[in-house]
Amino acid sequence: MNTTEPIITIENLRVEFTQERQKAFALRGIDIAFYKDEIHGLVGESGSGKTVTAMSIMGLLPKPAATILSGSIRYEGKELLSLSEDALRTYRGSKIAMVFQEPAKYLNPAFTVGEQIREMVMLHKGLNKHQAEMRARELLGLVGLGKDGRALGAYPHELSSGMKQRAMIAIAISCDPDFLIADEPTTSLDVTLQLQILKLLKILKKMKRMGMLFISHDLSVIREIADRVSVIYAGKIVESASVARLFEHQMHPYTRLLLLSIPDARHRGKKLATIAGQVLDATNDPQGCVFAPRCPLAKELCYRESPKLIAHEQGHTSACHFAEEAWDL
Amino acid sequence: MGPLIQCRNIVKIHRGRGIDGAKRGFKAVDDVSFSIEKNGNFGLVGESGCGKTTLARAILYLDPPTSGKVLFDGVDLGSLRSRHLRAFRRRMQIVFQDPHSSLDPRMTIYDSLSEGLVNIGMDRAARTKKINRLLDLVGISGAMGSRFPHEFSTGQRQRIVIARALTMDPEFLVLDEPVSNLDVSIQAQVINLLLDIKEELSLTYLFISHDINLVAYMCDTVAVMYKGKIVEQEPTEELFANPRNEYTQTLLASIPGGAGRISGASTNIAKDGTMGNTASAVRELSKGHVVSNTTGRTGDKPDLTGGTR
Ligand SMILES: Nc1ncnc2c1ncn2[C@@H]1O[C@H](COP(=O)(O)OP(=O)(O)OP(=O)(O)O)[C@@H](O)[C@H]1O
Ligand SMILES: Nc1ncnc2c1ncn2[C@@H]1O[C@H](COP(=O)(O)OP(=O)(O)O)[C@@H](O)[C@H]1O
Ligand code: SF4
Ligand SMILES: [Mg+2]
Ligand SMILES: [Mg+2]
Repeated sequence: MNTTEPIITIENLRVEFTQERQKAFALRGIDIAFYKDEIHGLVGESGSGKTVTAMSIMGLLPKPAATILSGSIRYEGKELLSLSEDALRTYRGSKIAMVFQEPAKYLNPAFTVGEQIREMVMLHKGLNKHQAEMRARELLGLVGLGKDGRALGAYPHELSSGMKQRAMIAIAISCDPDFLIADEPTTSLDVTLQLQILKLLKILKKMKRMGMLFISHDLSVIREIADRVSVIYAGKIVESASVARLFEHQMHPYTRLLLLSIPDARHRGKKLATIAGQVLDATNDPQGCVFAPRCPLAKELCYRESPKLIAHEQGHTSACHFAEEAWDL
Repeated sequence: MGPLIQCRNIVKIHRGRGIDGAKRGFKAVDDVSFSIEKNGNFGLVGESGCGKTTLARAILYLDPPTSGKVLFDGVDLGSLRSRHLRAFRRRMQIVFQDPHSSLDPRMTIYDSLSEGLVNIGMDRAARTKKINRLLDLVGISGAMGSRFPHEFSTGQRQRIVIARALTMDPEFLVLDEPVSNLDVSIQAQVINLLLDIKEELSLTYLFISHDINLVAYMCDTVAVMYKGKIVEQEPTEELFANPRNEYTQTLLASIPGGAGRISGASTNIAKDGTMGNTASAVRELSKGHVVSNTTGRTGDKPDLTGGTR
């Protein structure tokens, strides 16, 4: 689908957490590539490793709890995992920026929105006071907070949740990053607000020609916004394809079942498909497929051998031994 | 079959300090009327803070309404003395959103489920039999009754909470966002369970959610709540095919991927998502199809047009 070089490439990334001598395998070797001009949706259940993926790219994994066991994250070919903290800081904000699930936690309550934007652009872009002021106005206008100039002088607590999320987005894009990570940016918002934020992100991607990683647990949100989707389960990417292709044809039983389990008014009264059992505990380290204990298709091979993420036609990848078989679920 | 629940002009004013620190009363539920048929599955949908939980608690007389009437099976709950009210309350139960906070962490599952039964004087043998049957119904092995809540997953806990709500053989169940805190792959299990027990025990549901897709899947009638008022209420198909209220239209238009997924409905939506500020007027368009013009929306008004060029 995309012939150019990726902006960010993650290869075989394994991240583990140690807590009270317990090991949690948060990422069990993930491969993923992000391109300019493309919104890459990452979908998975809670605890599947979405935020850890985002934090790994940002270089913000909590230390010393988290250990990177192996792998690489390259930004335009340059290895990020070997950068010093100082070098990383210049990447953050100016090249890669992030919008968090709870904007309230990441906005500084002691400064107005305008001050927070001005500080970013004076620091990273070397603008003077006057230029920074202009830039702040322009950005707030861009995210739909510009009309009356009120947001500029507002403290975060004076804004509604939708406005806070917009302010957070304005700060994130203030230094023209090439790549934006949005970790469940709409999960805490009402549906009517959610749609507005999704539209805004789409418009910004087009205008700024950014690459974007959009994280959500909600397949219908991903379908709305993403160009490409990767499905993550228990720290593994199990399937990846263009949005059109993935919703048309699934090559991993987990994705298929997940789609079948979404309530749809047309099937009112009919039973939903369910996925038996529970998500694999992060402390488990199975030899075979992470989905095997819940997979209705699991065979002996699945418990013995972990399936690799293999490319099939049209850039569709799947980590299932039986991806190409016509299963009936 | 006749209505099991009738709400007439329910108003609920929260006294005390509001979030804005002001010390006046806040009208969280504003003149709400509707009825739920016996065995009905009535959906209540609306955004956060619009008054859904407040309304549910008022209907159950957990926080009695400031004014208005609730008739349960024809009996005005407001007219009952507390002892009689308690007997009526057994016939109605509520399941809340958060299964973590709704089970006592220091009590075994068996003890949590026993509480109500002990209160009505049921002996141990009968209790055990009943609890095992209920746990079985929700797919939890009776042998796990001696365990504590933290030993269960979120999905299992929600199933236990549902089992507990069933111990008093209620006829009416209020489900307040019962799956919102569950993972996608677990939600379907609980939804199926709720549909099964409804059938098996001939229950009547008031199903509350902010997810209009889910409500449309579960319920035969849907009421849309906005700022304390029911702005539209109709049979599910009708609501989706033909939403009349502006807020309902916006809500449907906000479904990711569009409302097309739902019964192929076409909605005529205000293109920029903004809504007018029309004076309130409730009209009954046809039988059972009530619609109001109220929106008067403020705050997070969609504002993409202004600054995005
Ligand atoms: N005890 C209380 N005292 C004062 N105000 C309250 C109280 N409980 C609720 N409110 C206010 O009443 C309104 C309705 O609240 P309610 O909890 O019924 O909303 P809801 O529709 O259930 O929202 P959600 O979807 O977030 O659960 C809100 O504005 C809330 O802040
Ligand atoms: N600070 C931490 N300490 C210990 N374990 C963590 C920490 N952060 C995440 N984990 C574990 O890593 C796994 C992935 O978590 P996360 O990426 O946050 O999931 P999500 O997909 O919900 O964003 C989970 O098993 C989680 O428990
Ligand atoms: S590899 Fe086996 S267990 Fe894993 S998803 Fe495929 S069929 Fe199921
Ligand atoms: Mg997360
Ligand atoms: Mg509520």
